[in-house]
Amino acid sequence: MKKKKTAGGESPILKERSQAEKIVFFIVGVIFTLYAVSLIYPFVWVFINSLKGALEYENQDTFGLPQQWLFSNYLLAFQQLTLEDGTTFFDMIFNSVWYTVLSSALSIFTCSVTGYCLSKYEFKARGIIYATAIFCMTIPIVGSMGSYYKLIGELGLYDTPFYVVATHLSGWGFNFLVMYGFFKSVSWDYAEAAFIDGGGHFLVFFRIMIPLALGPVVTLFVVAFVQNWNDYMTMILYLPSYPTLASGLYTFQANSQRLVNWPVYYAGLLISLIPVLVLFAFCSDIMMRNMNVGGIKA
Amino acid sequence: MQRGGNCGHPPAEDRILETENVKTEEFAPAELPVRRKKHVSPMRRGQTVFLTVMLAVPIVQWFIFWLYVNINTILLGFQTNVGTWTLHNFEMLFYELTADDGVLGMALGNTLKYFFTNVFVIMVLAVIISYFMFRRIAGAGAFRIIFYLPALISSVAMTAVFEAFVSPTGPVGWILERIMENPPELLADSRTATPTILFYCVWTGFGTNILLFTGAMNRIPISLLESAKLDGAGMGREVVSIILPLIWPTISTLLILNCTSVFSASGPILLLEGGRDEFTKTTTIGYWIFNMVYEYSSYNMVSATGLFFTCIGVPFILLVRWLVELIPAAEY
Repeated sequence: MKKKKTAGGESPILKERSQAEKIVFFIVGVIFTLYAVSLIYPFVWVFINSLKGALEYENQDTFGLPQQWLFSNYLLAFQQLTLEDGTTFFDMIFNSVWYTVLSSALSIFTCSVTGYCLSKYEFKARGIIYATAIFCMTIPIVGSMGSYYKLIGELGLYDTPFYVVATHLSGWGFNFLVMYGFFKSVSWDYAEAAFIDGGGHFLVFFRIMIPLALGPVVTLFVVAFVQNWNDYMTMILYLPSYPTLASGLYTFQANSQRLVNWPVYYAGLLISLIPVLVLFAFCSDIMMRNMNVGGIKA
Repeated sequence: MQRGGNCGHPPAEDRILETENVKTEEFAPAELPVRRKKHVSPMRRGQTVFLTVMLAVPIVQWFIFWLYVNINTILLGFQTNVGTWTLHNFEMLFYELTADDGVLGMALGNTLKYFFTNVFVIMVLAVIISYFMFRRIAGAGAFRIIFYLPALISSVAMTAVFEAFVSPTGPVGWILERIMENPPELLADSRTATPTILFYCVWTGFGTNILLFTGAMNRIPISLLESAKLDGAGMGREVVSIILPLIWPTISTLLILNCTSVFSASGPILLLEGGRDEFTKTTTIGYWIFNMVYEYSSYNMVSATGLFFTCIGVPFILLVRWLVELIPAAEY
């Protein structure tokens, strides 16, 4: 099938702009540049200040460059950014890694399972399960946090890694819809061929369908990774003994408002951004291409 | 009946069964009903086992963490903290909503400010920005990545940087000191705290919206835009008559998503205002719920409040959906 030609500026006809349009584009370009600078400059400012001494930061010119470029602040971040309960910066990194990988992997895997089962098999409860999944997504429930928090305590999941496992096995929501849509479009002929060769349903799912779904699975994983890496609410509410970089740095700042060595704190903040920025650098193309309304397109 | 595959092709095993049945019927006398043996093939048994194993955990999880939690929310709303039945939570709720110094009244006002900012400022600006990106304004590729950064960087880092930037020792504080006598500490002063947080929301709010809107615009067939251009349509006409109708499904979905989370989104209040004396004046319904659970372990009052706002939220969503569907989506 011939692909439809899309995308606004590629056409030579659309590239031709009247004088008035050129002026509008120029003004908008200036505004865009200012906005882009406003987004980048604070991080440049934080980077410059992360290289100052603590006293220099408090007393010197706000816009000035460091008298001495103290790259050692980045090493000090690992030593000084320790929470009151003894959690070190290394512990926060470790917690961020296991929490992010475990929660992202579990939620994407479970959504792949539910999406596959409901899109490729017809069984009695299929309709009601699908309708319930959609219903739960569309009604705006407010205030169930109290009941949820109570339940987590009653189940003994509060402040244990089992909380992460139990709560990320749901398999519903937008990720379910994405995987459902993807598997719906995959031909069943692959499975039939495997069945004829003596393969079972598990083999078809793990050896044929999951490899076929690698594109959307990777995209969803990257998006989930970014969300979970940046998640601070979960740790503050349900896993206070396992602070991640996001929740740990917030707690560090909130608990020692006046005593913070700001340059070292800024160094820690910038270190915490490295994993998502690196991931984004490698996967930005996948993310940008596959993002669609409702999260991601398959 | 269970059957594998719904892509118009029944699975191989079903096709084999169908063939066997046809053969049986062909050789049976027409007037005698054919008695089929109820036979469950190993393949189908395998399918049942597969579905049971794979779906059991997500379904049990839903029963515990969605159904039980929400039923319990309704019950907790009508109970005291020792479990006796009461309407006191709702009395307190209405008092807090209507009293002059009621926290919930203030929270509701702030929540609506954030909601209207999201819908009428952030979404509108995001559509405009997306249009110029779509029309390949110079540097569009770089702008797209830079504008997406706030969605990528953790809120903790973004708010910390913003806080440092607007603090008295930061660049904004430095500038304010030179142009004003006794400049306010933007996030600590109750008069400026909410507008400052609203500004933060707008400043960081375009990323994902731009990505979704440009994605929708990129799917518009170029021939449509070329024909309009050749017919002499200007930018305004192009936006109003072509772009907006064709990306309406994306706009309406985002609008509904915004409405769905109107009372539950807590925003950056904890990160920007948590621990400050002025936080009650900047709180929202979502943040108030979080704070009541986290600081005071007050589940009953939170549940009653949640029930009340859910009862408002459901018809509100239905109304918005109905209004949105009044505008038909253009097909292309």
